[in-house]
Amino acid sequence: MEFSELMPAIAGMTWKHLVMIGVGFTLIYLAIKKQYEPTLLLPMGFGAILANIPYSAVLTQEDSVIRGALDVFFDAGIATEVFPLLIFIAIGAMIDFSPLFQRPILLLFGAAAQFGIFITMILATLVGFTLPEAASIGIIGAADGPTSIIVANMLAPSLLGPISVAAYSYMALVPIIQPPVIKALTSKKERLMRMSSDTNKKVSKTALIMFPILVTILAGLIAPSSLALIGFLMFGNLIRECGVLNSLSKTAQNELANLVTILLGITIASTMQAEQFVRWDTILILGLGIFAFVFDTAGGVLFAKLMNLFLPEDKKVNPMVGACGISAFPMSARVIHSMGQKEDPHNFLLMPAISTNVGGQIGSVIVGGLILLLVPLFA
Amino acid sequence: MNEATILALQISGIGLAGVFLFMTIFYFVIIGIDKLFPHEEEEK
Repeated sequence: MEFSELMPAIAGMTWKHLVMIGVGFTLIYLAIKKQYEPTLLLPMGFGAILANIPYSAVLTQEDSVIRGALDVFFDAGIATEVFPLLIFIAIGAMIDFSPLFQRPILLLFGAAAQFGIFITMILATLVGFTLPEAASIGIIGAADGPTSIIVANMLAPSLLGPISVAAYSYMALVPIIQPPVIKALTSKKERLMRMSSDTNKKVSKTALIMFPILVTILAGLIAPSSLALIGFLMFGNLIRECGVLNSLSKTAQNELANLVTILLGITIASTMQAEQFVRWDTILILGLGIFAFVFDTAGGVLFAKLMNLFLPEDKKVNPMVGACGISAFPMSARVIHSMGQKEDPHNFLLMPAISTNVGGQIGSVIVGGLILLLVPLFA
Repeated sequence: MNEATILALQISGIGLAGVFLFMTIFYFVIIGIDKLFPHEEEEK
């Protein structure tokens, strides 16, 4: 009997497998020690180890009649989009849209801060990716994990692993990525700007119920391809705001979110197999992902500066707030608020930052829908 | 510049315009429903 028959996993181990197991350890370290998105990075890290032990039973093997559990989860939850869409219900149930009613103009930053997605898509085509691959890489800049998964799964399934890892890792790195970009684009005087905010304004329950319904109808009429994304997000929000489904709302925010997150994280890891992941493309994708985040932040800040040219003095926007137009909620808002406080301890930017950040969540979902509509038309 | 880049430029133009259009519509939706269903009326 040969060694490879007796110990097939050890005999089949290559340097690529070891690299991926190292990646798994790194993700687990970041999750536990640095607390970067631990709910996702930890399952992904452990799943990366599971998927990179040669002949692992969690993946379907050529000579086996039994399907690997991670492949079953992938086909049931990712290929069908069920897991990310269930996450959208949970996120919708967590979002409070009332800050947007206090200053709805801040919604526009949710559009401006998607700039990085498109500039990254263009750059990705220049370095050799196909249009669907480039669009999937660009969407990392949405700072929205479920949207990234859905877009990548539909347009470039072979890149799902690195795109998911980049999307979730960089979301966790918002406090590190955004501040230097913002500081480079703003003067101290701009960072000290105070914003008037009508924090006492109350929003009626009816308005908060009507908002998700109307947004769903309008988004569906204009771009039906965005409906799966925006529809499930708004459904979750309607459960929250209707006032008669408190138990379901709490379940969506807690049990559903937690359960699907566990399955989503470990299932994504099934795409992190050594042969698919340890490639030059992966490094390029990780680099382009940072590029997307940087230009999203820049897009929001520069748009705020542009808007300030036209806004009256009492309505001007602190340009730092524009950076919250990405979807990383509420991390981005907290980062901007703390940056404002560092410049001036009496400057409270949290409310406008939260409003903008909520707009960013809507914006990222809309961009995902638009990319799913446009890329197949052009490709 | 390759063909994919030219298409990416076109998609970027339409995509950015599209997301601004959506957000502008949602802006007016918020203004509209806030006027139609103000908090004070509900309290009465």
